[in-house]
Amino acid sequence: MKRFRSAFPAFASACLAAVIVSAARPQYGGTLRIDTRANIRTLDPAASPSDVVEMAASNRIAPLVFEPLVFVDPAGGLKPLLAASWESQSGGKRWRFRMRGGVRLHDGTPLEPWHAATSLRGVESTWTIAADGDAIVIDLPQPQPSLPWELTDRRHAIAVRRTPTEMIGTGPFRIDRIDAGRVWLRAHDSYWSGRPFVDIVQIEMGRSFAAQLTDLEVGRADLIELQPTDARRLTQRGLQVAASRPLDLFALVFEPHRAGSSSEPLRRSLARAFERVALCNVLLQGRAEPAETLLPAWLSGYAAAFAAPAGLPLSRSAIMRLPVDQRTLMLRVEAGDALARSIAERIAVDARESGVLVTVQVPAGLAPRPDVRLVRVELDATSPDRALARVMAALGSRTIALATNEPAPAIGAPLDVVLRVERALLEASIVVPVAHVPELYGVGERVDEWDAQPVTATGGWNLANLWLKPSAPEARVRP
Amino acid sequence: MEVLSCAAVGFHGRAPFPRTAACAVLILLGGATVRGQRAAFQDLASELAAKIAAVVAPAGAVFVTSIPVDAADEAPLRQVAREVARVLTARGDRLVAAEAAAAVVVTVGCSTNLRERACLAEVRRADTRQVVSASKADDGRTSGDADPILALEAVPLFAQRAAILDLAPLGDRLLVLDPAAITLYSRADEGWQRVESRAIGPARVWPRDLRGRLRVSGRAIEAFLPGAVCRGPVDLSGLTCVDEREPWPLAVDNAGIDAARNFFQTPEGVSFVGAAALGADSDARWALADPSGTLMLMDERRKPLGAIGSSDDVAGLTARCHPGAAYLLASARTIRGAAQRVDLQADTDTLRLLRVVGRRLLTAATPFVLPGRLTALWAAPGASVATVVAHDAGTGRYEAFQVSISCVR
Repeated sequence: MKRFRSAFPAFASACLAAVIVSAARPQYGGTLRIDTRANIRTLDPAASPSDVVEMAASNRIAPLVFEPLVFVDPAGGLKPLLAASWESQSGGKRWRFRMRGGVRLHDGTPLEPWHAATSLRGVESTWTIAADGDAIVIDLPQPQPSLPWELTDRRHAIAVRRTPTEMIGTGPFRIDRIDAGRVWLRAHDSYWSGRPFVDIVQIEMGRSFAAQLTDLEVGRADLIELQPTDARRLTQRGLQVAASRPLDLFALVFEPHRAGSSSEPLRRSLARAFERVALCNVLLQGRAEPAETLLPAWLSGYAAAFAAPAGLPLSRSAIMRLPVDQRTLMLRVEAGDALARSIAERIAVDARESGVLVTVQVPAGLAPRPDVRLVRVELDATSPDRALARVMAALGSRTIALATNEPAPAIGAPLDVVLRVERALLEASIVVPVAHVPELYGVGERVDEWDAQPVTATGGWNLANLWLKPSAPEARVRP
Repeated sequence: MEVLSCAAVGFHGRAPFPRTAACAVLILLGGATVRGQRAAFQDLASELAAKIAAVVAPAGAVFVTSIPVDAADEAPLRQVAREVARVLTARGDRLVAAEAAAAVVVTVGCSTNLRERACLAEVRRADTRQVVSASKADDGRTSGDADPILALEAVPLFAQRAAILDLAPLGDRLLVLDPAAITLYSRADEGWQRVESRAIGPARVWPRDLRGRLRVSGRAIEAFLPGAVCRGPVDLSGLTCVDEREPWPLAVDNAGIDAARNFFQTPEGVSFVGAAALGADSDARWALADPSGTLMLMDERRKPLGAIGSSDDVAGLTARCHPGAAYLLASARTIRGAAQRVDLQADTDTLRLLRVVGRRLLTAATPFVLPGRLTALWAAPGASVATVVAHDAGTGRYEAFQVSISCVR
């Protein structure tokens, strides 16, 4: 046999390198420093913080510690996590989940089916849950064909309570400590899917967006929350921006005194008065998608044209003929949400072109009653029936009652029912979608990823996959 | 990632470099999910059509239209819309071409969400709107069935210092066409062994960018060259070459190559370097790479429809796992940064696997960097294997590959 002396090794390495841009092997160790606006008090999966910012951050961090039986694959469908497989009987009234073998809790002990059963019993009092060999069996009061989707919720993650204050899970990181300003997570050495690369994740809490940007730029943080309006600033500095699919909905919601049928033409006119595409491309720097529906198409599975209301807006001349008080709207935004304020101001400018006079109100203390609010709703990356039901819950029963008599889609409802409910919600233009915005993160120079992005399409943090480049100094960790 | 099977073609003169290594290269290249193929909705078409038929009064004038959520969904959506039209026509409805002439407008949309693949149809009649749907859940036990991942699989076949114009594997034998001769090789333990060679005579002055094409029909071969054709049996005995300009065996009708040029012309006079037939999901019949590097579409009357991208050469390729779909294998200069990263000479070409849906060009697999400039790209019409030759300026060799599409489900 001849010795191989062709150009093929070069060709092979060329192809490899063309695919794997960063050729270095990942390195273990170091502290990954993350900034967040939230003040997290607990990572207990069963807790439901009332503060939306805390809830959002907690939804990203808790899955690093506590894992569910099943998870939503960002590419679609369900994938097994702590359950290796599952099957249903009696039309979905009884479910059997066979547990994955070789999973260890953070204290090193093997995860047993009874751990999972006990954990789930703590949050679902009406279910009968029992360990059965290498499986758990769940008996439900009513058939639930889509139970695995239900189990992807954060609150159904498996958490084992060792003491009244100490909870452990099976995730890639364990809780080291939580104090007033920081959360420390440590790598779980026996993680069933491979130990994370970094040793410690240090989460600095209560950092404003501006402070986070500074922290990233001066090298005090490795991963920060980012507003779309700041994305270009980072990319121009050569820093990476990681993004989920659109997971935040901005929508206008009219107040009851503006929700009557007599105001409907004006509502429709406002809904058509602003340029969503320009808003997303210019103000939101191309990091958002114009919204005609509550659910983005990647969550609903249908085009916006199916759900958008059919009614026509008033012409500018018709609007101008209205009494001034009827075509003047006070638009309220949350005081702490600078992005919402920017969007509201852009809407106000566009609306003025159409003859609708919009004044943006950022209340500090007592303020006049608004006519319309710009709300921000965090969307759940789940099945369309659940996603829409949760949007309706977030909008509140008062708003929903003004918009439609349709109840939220039942769990497991087919897509035509989801569409019918969404269409009904949007029909009277009491709720007007504006933009779908992804969760954005700035990624520091010393952070590299192994085989997946730092943030998944569904918004999950993929921290176990991140590693720190050795060239950058490990210094500047806050004392 | 699952392991692709590598084609069982040997490495000429490359024995110590194991086949598995080549496989590894190819597997890594296959990482891209094909959005254009990801969602198939054909299995939902019948159910959706039946539900539409149930809510549409028979024997009416119906206009069927569709709304794609994603460009990649366009082709499968057309198939569903066609099925809906077929069902409605079969039961006596009259399909009309304009919405204004219709009593009922049916709008079909198909897409995926995290739960399912779904098709929706809105049935609009006067002021009423009704929605029906058909879906198939992705519950983790069925996922992946409809999601083949495509990869370009390139198997090194032959290398020599003289330019390789084309080659034709014949079982254990190999015919190689170069500017001076046609040579027949036989497979031996140590690689290819020359059996017979016949000069292409008499000596000619060829164009600088010489191109040539082999066609094997049973025991006969034809070698097409600019302004000349050689014919003879596969064993090369009695090979004769004559000066004549013959149509070459390409996807589109052509008048061959002029003796001093390197491009073809259609009967209508459209110049092109390479051509590929397109599938039913395209609005065009052919894609052509023109001499200026533009990838353009052409209709069935061979009338240009406009540019859709750029490519220095193109050939058509089919995938065994995706019958009926037509892919383009197109070449272009490697992006400078990529060439530097992979430590190649700056002058390299990249092969891209593309698909034309409607008039959109979709990427179907991760691009494949060649070890040099592409000098030949040929595929017989309807073939699942293409011949690719690249000139590696660093080693001064011409490397020939057989390129096909691998699928992973």
